[in-house]
Amino acid sequence: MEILQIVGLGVVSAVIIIVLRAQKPEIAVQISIITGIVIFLLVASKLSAVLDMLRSFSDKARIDPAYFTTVLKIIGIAYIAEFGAEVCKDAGEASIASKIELAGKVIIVVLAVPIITSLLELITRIMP
Amino acid sequence: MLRFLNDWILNITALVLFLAVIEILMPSGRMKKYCGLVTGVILIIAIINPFLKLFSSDFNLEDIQVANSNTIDRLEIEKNSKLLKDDQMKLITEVYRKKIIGQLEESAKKSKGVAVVKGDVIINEDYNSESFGEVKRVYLEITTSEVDNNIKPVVKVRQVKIGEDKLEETGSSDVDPKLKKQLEDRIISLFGLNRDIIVISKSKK
Repeated sequence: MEILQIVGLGVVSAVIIIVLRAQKPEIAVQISIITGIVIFLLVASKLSAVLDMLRSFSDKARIDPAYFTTVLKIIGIAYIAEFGAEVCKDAGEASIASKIELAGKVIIVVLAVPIITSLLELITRIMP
Repeated sequence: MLRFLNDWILNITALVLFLAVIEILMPSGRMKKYCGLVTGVILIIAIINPFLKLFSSDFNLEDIQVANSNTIDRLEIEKNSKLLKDDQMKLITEVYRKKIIGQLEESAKKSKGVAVVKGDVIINEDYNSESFGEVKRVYLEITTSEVDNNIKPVVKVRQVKIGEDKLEETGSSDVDPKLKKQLEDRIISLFGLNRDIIVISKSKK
């Protein structure tokens, strides 16, 4: 039951962080980052299995592999940006968090632009 | 026709299921709507795409996407390389300027009666203009030496009163016209410059 491990880890680290925040806030932030990374590593192997399954699924359904990789990249970027932003918010740096979110949004838009322009191209080709 | 419809419906169904799974994986925060936008566009493309294949067979969506992606990358690289070029050109200009100053000082030192030379030049630093690197102004600050070598000083000391000499040195900052002309000629012959842009002054030390 991995979910119990993850929840246990999360709850324990939350309690430790609450206790430490009053005395040593800098250690509390570090524990928060480490907990986030450990939880991610715990589910990473399962996630890769899910992604492999999705890839084979998209091959069978003849979904363009370019779209598949783009969508996965976007989700990855969104997760990383959110993780960084949340850590910064926990550390009390809301302005840095918003900048991280902005960077994430910009990179997502850069990845999405080719897809959106393909759609536009498609529509202009259909129109007489 | 039936095969086309079959493929189309299968493709859309598979894509919707795929996007539904992706939706579960999406982060729950503010980024979700951006991911949703992209997945929505992909779904629209999947719905429209087969119609285009009916009208024209030469249309390849992947090529268009790669081309668009390449355009963005190219623009980004161009922009970055321009920034790098700016830095590089600044460095090149500075090295070039220092080299000219060094040559100027060296050539001025060869003139008789010049002990210390401090030079400076203003060059055209706009690398887009045709006259990039052109010397606009030359400044030379010279300290004349009455002592040229080991033999002459004895003669000079006898001829010139020390008190007067000092007075002359501190009192005026004009360079001896003969020496000035000699220096200017040398600079003009070396760098092919106009006489008007050369400013030679005497050091106030």
